[in-house]
Amino acid sequence: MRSGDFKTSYKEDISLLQTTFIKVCIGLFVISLIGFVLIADKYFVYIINLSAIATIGSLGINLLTGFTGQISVGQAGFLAIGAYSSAILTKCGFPFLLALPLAGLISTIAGFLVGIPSLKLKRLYIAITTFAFGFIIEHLANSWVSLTNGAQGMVVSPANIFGINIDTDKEFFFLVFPLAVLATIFARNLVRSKPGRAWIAIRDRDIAAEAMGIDLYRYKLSSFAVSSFYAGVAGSLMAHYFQYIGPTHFELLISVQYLAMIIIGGLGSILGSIFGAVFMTALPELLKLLSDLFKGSFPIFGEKFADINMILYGLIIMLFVIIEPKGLNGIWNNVKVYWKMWPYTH
Amino acid sequence: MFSEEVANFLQLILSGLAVGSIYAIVALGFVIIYKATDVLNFAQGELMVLGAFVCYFFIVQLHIPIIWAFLLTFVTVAIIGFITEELFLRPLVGEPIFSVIMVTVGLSIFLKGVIGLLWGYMIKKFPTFVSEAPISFSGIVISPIHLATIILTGILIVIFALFFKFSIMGIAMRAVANDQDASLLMGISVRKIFGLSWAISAIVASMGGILLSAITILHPSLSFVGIKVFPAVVLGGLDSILGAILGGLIIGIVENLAGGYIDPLVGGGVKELTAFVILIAIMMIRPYGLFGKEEIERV
Amino acid sequence: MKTKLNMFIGFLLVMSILIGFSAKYISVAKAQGVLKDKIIIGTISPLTGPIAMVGIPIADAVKDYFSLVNEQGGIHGRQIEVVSEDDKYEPPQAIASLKKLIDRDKIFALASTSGTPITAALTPTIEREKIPSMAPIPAYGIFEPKTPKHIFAYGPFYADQVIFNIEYILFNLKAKDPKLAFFYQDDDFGQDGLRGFRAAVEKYKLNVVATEKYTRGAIDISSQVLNIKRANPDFLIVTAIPSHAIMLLKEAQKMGLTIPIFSCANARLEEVIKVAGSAADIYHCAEYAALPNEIEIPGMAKLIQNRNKRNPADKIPPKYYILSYVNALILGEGIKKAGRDLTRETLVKALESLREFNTEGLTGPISYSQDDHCPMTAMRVVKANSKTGFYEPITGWELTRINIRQK
Repeated sequence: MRSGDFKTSYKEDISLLQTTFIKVCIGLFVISLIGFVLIADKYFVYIINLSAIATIGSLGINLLTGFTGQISVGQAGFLAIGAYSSAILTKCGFPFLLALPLAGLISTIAGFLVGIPSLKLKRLYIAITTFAFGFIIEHLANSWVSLTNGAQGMVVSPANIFGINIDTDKEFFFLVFPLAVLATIFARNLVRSKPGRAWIAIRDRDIAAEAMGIDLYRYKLSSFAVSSFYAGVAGSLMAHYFQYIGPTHFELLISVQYLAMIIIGGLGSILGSIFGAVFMTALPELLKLLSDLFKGSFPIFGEKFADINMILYGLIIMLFVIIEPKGLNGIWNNVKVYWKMWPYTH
Repeated sequence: MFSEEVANFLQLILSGLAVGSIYAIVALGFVIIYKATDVLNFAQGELMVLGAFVCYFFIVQLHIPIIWAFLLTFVTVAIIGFITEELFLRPLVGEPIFSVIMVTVGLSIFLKGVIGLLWGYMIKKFPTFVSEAPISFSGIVISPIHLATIILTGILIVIFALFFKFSIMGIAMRAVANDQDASLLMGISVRKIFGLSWAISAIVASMGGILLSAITILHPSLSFVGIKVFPAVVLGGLDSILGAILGGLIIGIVENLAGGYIDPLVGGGVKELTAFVILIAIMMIRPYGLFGKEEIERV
Repeated sequence: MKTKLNMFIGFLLVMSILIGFSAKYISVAKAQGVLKDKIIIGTISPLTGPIAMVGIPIADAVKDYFSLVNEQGGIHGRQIEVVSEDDKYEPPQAIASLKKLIDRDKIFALASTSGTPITAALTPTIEREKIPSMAPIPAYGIFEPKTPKHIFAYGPFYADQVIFNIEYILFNLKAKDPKLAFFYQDDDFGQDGLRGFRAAVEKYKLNVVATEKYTRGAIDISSQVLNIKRANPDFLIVTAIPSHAIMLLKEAQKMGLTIPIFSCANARLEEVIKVAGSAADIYHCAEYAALPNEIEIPGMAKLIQNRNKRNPADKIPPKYYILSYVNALILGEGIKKAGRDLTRETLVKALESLREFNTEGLTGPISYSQDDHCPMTAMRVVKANSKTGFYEPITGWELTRINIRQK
């Protein structure tokens, strides 16, 4: 695949999309995606939009957990901060285009604060701290009624860009997809440049990293900050998409789902974050569609199909991690390698 | 005999001990697995509920007398625990710990579905096996089931202390927790120890499940307790058996005292936060918990 | 060069397969769920997870009722097909379920919008798609201050039920200056009960000696019960979910707290009596539907007969089955009234025109209007009887005296 692929300038060498082939593939993919969205059901567009939002969130947590090795079980907390900030800001009259980045920034500040203990604590204990953080945020969302309307949740106005309300799923796609693309490009670039390398070094051997001159404080904090910015943006998008948020949207389960996304997608891989986000979002729906197909032939199961879905869901997650711990990205790489060497693969 | 204030205080402590014992037993199950295999078992709550339902099945659906039902339950969940470990956890030996934890997350969802499929979601009553009449003395009340829970916790402390200190299996488990390679070199079957730790943890979890169901209700939602005991585990130290039990008891007592004395002052809600406040405090002061061993990193 | 070409062709093939495959799922025309001989109705409720004990009966009731309707010839020559979705009690799942029901199953109306936080999350989609929907639970947050155009329910809010209980104490028991304690769950559901409690306390100038709350998921409420006991109240008013009502009753019995306890209708489950046993003898509930043991009520007899035909696991219809069954009755009546020319608009208009709709004794009469999609219906106080395992009504059907509704 790569034979006959010579670079003749630095610009070519560091470009994001390396070969014409990849550029064509990605171009076709984007075109077919847009085409699909234009003619498909709202239901499918909804799944795609959710996947896009999840991609932004999962990129964030992959940067923190996959690349920097800081296990965070508090992603839901950062999502919540982004969502509520955006909801409150738009309620106070801020335009959406301003509220979105501001929500991300507010989330970043929270990320800084949560990151501070990480300097002293290792692995599992960071997980526990972020877990406590997520819990506190959920509790605050529930009790700080004057700010968040408490357990009843908040109605959020739809995203409003230059006076146009983004009210339907298809319109929302054209908002969220470019953002997701931007987020991916930015993350990809971060990862292949100095911060990314520092993060990977911290993940692999932080003592050695420090000895080599990498400022642990600075890079751990920046990892938390970037990760929570992503989460804040994702939360804001979620709030304006659902047009309603409540504390129940940000439970521990959500944090766990994001972790599942990056593990199944591939820890420490940008492409993996996308794979994982799409997979985890689409899986429950796929199971629903499958069980609809089977409901006709096995009416006995009709009553219990929901439980069977849950069993399958858990089983698939388990089997995935067991069979390919490197996740979907690992499988993707295996496929690529196979085809690269075909027909001489062994 | 006691003044009202003192009686009130002692009542809170006693009730705290009772709920703390439940936390302690569940935390114990967590720590057994963590100590032997370095895995944080997210499915501990589901194992607990599974044990309770299996016992319910034997007593109510098969009409087996209670003592035999208990023993059968322990055997069944031990087998389930062992098989789970062999099937789902062993292939992941050597993978990043994170992936293993994700398998336990998948396992918890899987078990939730199985429990829902087999027993449904209606609230059930766990059959009574101790008298329901409360015991009271000098103005303090305790129900026999709570007393049984506290006593069981005490017994478990002794059993496990003896097990780990004197029995061959126990010493082998400590060796594996300490250094897997050295244990292998010494001829210890690390495989069997892993499986055994899950089996024992499942038995302990089922004990907790049975007691909790008897005290409250029998319902799949009880698995939430698995997450609630996290602060207890951290407080005691993730790899300390004694710590898990003490951590659970301490949190139970402090929660109750907070509920009794601070809640009325602030309109409530403090009780549930107590566990997490303790969690954060411990993380800041002594991250390895009261009895945990400090991880010394070798370069 | 050749390999590259092969890869390229392979990629094109894959893409075209994908596009072709997805074309299968593309729908352009919008059928509204009303066909010549069929109407498609959806339900969304938790079929897995702890709340499934509420969600499964809700879905079953809708299915069973419309099976009966179909057996009797359908409505205006159309058979009703019911599609049930599981939302796992998670809002994003619920929204996905609704979009699936609309786009793929082409539902005409929604017979259950699941629990209150889910209904709130579904509201933007429901209103945008203009789908007539029945909410199984009358919730303050959904119906006030603004009436949703397409969502209907019936019954008292939790606040109304609490007020009803307090008025029972004041006017039926004729208690003089009673000391009240209040115990509630710390979320929107319990807080609505608190709202009613505060309104009644203010209106009737009542003496409150203790207010305690607990968080969903707590396994121990002993300190709260102890605090309540120490305050020495005469009556305990409660807004809690069944599991914690059970825990409360057990703990109260243990502590020797024997005052009457008054709860809201959501915790009026037979399971509460079964698990709490003799501790339930002080347990009262405000209830706005008929009880499953009241087989002398024609509506209840018919409901039980219909249900037993479908081979349920037990013979006692759960509470939420009864509530959802009435929703199905209302929906069916609305469809009937809208006539053969059935559209979403005519259905909404038909529902809003229902006056004093008679549910044959299952509930009090139900009247809708353009402004009111969740009318308060009559309640009774029912008392638990641990010997029979059932509840017994101890008052007649009444509304609250003070009305804190905004309409």
